[in-house]
Amino acid sequence: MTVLARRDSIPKLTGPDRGPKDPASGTAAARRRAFFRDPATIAGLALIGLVLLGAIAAPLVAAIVGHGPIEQFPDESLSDTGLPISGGNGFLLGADDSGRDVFVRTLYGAQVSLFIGIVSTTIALVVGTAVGLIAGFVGGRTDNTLSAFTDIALAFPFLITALSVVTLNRGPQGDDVIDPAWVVIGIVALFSWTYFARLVRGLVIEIKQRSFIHAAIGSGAGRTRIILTEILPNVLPAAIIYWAVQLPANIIGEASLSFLGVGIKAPTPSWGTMIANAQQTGLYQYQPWLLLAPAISLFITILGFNLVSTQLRRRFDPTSTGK
Amino acid sequence: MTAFARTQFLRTRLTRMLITVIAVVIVTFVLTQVAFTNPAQNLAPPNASGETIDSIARAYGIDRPWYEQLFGYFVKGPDIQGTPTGFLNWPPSLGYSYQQQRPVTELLLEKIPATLSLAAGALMLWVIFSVLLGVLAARRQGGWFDKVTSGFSYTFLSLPTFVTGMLLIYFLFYQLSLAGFRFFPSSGYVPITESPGEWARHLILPWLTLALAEIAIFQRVIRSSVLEVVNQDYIRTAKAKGLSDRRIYFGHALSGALNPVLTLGGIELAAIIGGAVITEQVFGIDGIGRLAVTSASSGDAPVVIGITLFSAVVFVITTFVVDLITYARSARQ
Repeated sequence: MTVLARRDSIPKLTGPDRGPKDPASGTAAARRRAFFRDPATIAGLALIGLVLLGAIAAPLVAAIVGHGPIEQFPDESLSDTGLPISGGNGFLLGADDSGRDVFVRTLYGAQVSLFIGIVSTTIALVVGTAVGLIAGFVGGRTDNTLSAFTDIALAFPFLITALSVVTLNRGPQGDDVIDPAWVVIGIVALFSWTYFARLVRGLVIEIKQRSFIHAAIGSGAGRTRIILTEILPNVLPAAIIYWAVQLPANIIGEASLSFLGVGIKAPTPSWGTMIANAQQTGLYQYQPWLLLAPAISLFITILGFNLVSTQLRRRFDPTSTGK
Repeated sequence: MTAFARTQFLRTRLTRMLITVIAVVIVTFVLTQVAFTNPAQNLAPPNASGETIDSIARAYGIDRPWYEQLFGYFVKGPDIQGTPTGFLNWPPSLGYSYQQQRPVTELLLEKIPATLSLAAGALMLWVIFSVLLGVLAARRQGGWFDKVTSGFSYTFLSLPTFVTGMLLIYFLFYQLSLAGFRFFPSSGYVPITESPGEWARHLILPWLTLALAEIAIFQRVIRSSVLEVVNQDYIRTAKAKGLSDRRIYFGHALSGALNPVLTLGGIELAAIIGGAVITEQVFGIDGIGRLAVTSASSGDAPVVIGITLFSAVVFVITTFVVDLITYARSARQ
């Protein structure tokens, strides 16, 4: 998939449902019940639960096996020729080329992925919603300017620009000026707020025409109050569903940047860096877990969020028709 | 739409495209100015005197203020190492790469065939398999084939490009060669002019890597558009008249379902450059994507600006072409 795909253009993966079984029909309570009973939701929530459990249990597991995520144990885990030994030394999934525990690092990797994914998507949600509210409500020249910005932002190639932005963080000695995690969060948010802005703007323009807004204006409410108390509560549910849709894309964004060597850097455990390490050293040939453990973890995480967000859109998204 | 309105539409669209591209270049230019500090000092040998650094800066024209450099980029700047700068030259020039010591235009032209081969092959696979799988899944909605393709979709939508690539290398290159089947190479690129067979053999895994996620999305889009169409009256009439299933699904229904496919296709095609950066990195293909990674990390500003410009142009042109086709189709109907 293209990195940071335009998630709003991806259709729901289920076909048209017609008649009384249309998932977007029925009362809110009925829809909620149906949502939680759907096997796809249950599977998705189970996968997300598994990842959360891994992230929370990471320090505990590290304490039990006695291997910290960035500690190196070359004597116990590497052979004389420097290749990881498989099995029989307390390293459940073996070690990497520096003698670090792959299992412990994979669990810590869940913390990194979730943290960066959730924080960057939330920033994008806040910024995008704010811009969309203003553009949609004020309209006119403000709207045109903001829309032009959105157009230009879309024409930037994410990875190439991100590569240049990352060099901004390089100090005079080639060291990082601020924690690279925040740089990654900034870049991923920078490239995903536009989708929220477009979504919210569209909704606001529609809601603005409704009678309760005219009533509020008529009763003398100010602009800020109307936006915050009348419009925001009506666009927020859609924006939050969209948050769940964008989250897996942003997790992929972080992993891809780390894979290219400009995101989270070793020795901090990130799934992207671990796979890059497996590729660059060619160690996946002797130690497949160095590749497979982070690959499977990324897959489980993204699949879990994809399953749940697809169901959310299917059942609750006011902008979709339930197809 | 009258001829006048059509010209008007074209004019606004083209102006907006031009403005977008210019804005992208300006932003990238400023960004590289800020991000790549002291390019001359990086080029100079360690412990070089201030004088040496100054002369290097003069040689590459980076001692001038940034607005002069930007003006030179768009219009006409001084020659650098015998290479002209600026668009008002013939052929238009994108400047000179400090790190590679070569004109940027020449560098880009040299790397484009590899990236183009990658993108074109992936696109072929993507279109053929999406149509085939999508239509077949729609024919028996809810049947076993539909369920299998739906599972396939979820799987490949949930794998980042680089993970798909590494897994293909692990299973189809490494495991197969352990089993004695050494067909797929794990990296490298052979130009088609050298040997078409080797060219294709080296590109099969990269093509798959780039195409799988797209097929995952598109066969679902095609499936739901086809389902939407076959439930409409004119298809029912065609069915009642005894038209064969194949003609109904691959003929009528597919052409009726083409609009959403085209729209999404344009967006994804334009974004393929991003996918190429990753795929080229995974498979060691020496194309535009790898050039982008090396130039950005070594602070080679002219190349970074050139590549950003290239992909922005690809983006606006593909979106424009897709809009034109959609527009032409809607005008005909």
